[in-house]
Amino acid sequence: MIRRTFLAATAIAGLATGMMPVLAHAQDGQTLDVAIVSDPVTLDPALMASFFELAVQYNIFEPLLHTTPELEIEPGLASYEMPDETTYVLTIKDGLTFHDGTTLDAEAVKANLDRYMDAETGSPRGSELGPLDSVEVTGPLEVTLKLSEPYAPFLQVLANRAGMMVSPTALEELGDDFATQAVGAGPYKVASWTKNSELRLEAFEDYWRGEPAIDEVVFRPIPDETVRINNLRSGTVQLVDGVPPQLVPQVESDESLTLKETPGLGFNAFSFNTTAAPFDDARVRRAFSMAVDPEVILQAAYFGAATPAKGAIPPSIGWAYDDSLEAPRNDPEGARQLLEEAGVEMPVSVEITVTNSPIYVRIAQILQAQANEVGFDVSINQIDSTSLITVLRERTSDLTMSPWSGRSDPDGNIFNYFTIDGPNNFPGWENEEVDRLLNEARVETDQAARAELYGQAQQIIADEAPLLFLVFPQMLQASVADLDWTQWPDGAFRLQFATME
Amino acid sequence: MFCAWGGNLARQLVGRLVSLIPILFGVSVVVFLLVRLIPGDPVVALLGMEATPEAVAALRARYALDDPWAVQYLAWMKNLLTGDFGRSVQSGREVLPLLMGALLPTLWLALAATLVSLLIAIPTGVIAATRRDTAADAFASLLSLFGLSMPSFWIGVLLILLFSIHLPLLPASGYVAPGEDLGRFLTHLVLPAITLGTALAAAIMRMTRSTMLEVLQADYVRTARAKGLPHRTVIWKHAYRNAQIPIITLIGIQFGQVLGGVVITETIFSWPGIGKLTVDAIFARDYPVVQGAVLLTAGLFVFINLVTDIVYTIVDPRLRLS
Repeated sequence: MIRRTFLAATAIAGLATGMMPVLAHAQDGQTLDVAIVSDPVTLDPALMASFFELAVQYNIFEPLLHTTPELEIEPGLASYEMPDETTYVLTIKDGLTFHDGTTLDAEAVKANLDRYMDAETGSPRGSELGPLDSVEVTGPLEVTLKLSEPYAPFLQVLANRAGMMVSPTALEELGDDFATQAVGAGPYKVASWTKNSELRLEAFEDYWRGEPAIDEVVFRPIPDETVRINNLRSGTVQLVDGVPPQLVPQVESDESLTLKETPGLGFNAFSFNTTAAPFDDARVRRAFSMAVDPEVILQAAYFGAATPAKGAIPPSIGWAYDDSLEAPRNDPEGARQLLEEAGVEMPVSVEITVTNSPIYVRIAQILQAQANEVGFDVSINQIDSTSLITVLRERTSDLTMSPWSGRSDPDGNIFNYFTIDGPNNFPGWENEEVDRLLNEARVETDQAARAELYGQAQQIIADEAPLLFLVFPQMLQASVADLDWTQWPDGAFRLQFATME
Repeated sequence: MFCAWGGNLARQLVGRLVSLIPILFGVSVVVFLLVRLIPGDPVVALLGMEATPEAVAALRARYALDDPWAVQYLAWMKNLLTGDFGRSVQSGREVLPLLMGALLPTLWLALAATLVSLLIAIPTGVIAATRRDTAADAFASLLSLFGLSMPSFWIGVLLILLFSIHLPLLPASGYVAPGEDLGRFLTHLVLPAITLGTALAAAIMRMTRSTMLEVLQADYVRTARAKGLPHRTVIWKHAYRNAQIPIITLIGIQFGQVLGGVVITETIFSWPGIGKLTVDAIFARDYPVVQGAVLLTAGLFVFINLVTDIVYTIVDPRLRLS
């Protein structure tokens, strides 16, 4: 009996305290709570590979160069000069330090770039830096980068993860713990990180643009999309990443909230396995593509928050986007004819593999319905995202989802997918002409000439259809109306530019 | 008699602890193999779409993933015996602190949810049994059916809508450590505890009702009634105390399961517990984390069973002699 009374008493006490209204907890200084889709995997830029880490990383790390929301390159930690097509001279700003007080000078920049390029690091940054051959310290604040051949995307790459500088001292001292206690030179420094709960950042007083206006930023992973928006509506967080398209009307109708939307850098596409029947025949791939009406996917899966895609380069990269690109779509009659022409036995049975997330399952079902109309017999295979990578690399399915987060230079969206040895050549497609065009576009430094080369490559890709491009998803993020912030097409938050009323 | 009980208890404890060794050994082998049989490996998961053959090879070598399984297993065991659970391949965090950090929130949630479930289930179950086939019984059955069949992601979201948005009383999600701010810890705990507690309550309520019905038929209850004891005394002292054993068994099992993690509740409320940690680790093929988490959970489960057995001997003195 005593036990029971005690339990009841604690329960009531707990509830009584529990029912008190939620109070804002930061009294002195401003705190911004940000809901993100998932906890960052690592805070070491060398190993970052998750799309959702983008929300966090630019707040801790500063790249050598800066990209504007219009994707223009500006000086960042350093400014650059190009004495010739394969030489870049970076001049680092004077008096810069990392969060731990280590001087950010030419030696530090060299140490960082060498680390990314070192095969033992196993960093994807190595391949992003492309033909970078050597990094030489040519002055206390000057490094000279030598490339083995011209590489047009290089400046964008230095403004992305491969240009992010980490403190060499911290790297040495922290060893394996660096991934959780990262030390950079960005606007915020890591104060604490509780896995799956909160990543707490504090303003860095010596940030090169000046101390950020908001004193503290707390990233909270909230995987459930409805709960994420509910947290914004209830005021628990003031900024959210990844607004689900179906909740856009709800956010827009709330006057205390602001929805921001911009065309993203990535695409959503499916890879045909071009190394085995039936999709080793370009006519069958075209027929499948012709069966698809992207408008249905746009409305039923994205609720309008996307634009139809015919190629790999999105409208957000204005100079390289090709509006006139033609791809086989929405022609069921033509699809049937083409299948007959190809002489395959109908119905053509194929398997689509997607991850088990609701939006992809919905897309797969739409593809299934539309393709079955013209003579395919589609089955859907659902797996988890790690297995998906294996299926793509081993080509064990006929048609496999392969979404890409996108890069600010078109090369990042197209080279690895369509060159013969490209690491993301999931279709196993080999086209000498496209390979040549893409390699040429990489070394061509004239923007108009590059756009022309991409245009040619994209038209061949659209005709041969190794990938079925569906849409370019919009970047959807929302905040309380009192927060003034800027949205970037890559979806990364750069909160040094944010202020709160 | 008390000494005999104590000696018995000590023997039981030692016996259980010894039996833990082969169990954990078996679990370690099974989890080690299972996690490697799923397609993909930690490096594939870590690099995802950005993998290049060079990066994959370098990281595989760094984490010794190219070694034969037997070598990997022995290396893991050797470290385990020195208390080193290794590091997460994904995040580079040390596994043991990572697991402990996630276990505590889960423990709080499990305790609070069990408390909620008992507060709902025991009175409802007893009332349903004593007023069998009345409106109260039907209502209680309906309630438990509701609790069993309503998915927790739905109840959770409803609770958030009601208590965080329409009546802004409680935070929608998140976790605050009790040591940091007890008040905010409790406000964050209420909704997940109710969500999970409702689901747990249903089964306990059904069990309470059926065992109470059985006990109420027993001769000693009739005797107690015949002696003219007050109704309350008959129900709570004679009938309920005898009905407790199966209920405690069920609570023990449920508690053990909850400690293993309740992924859905943890996901909805962004509760940084061990369930979500384990599931994420499985998706990421983070071998050291999955292995450590499963071992820890298995150990806990055995421990909870042991505690349950001890509780039996407290509530039922007859068991102390056997």
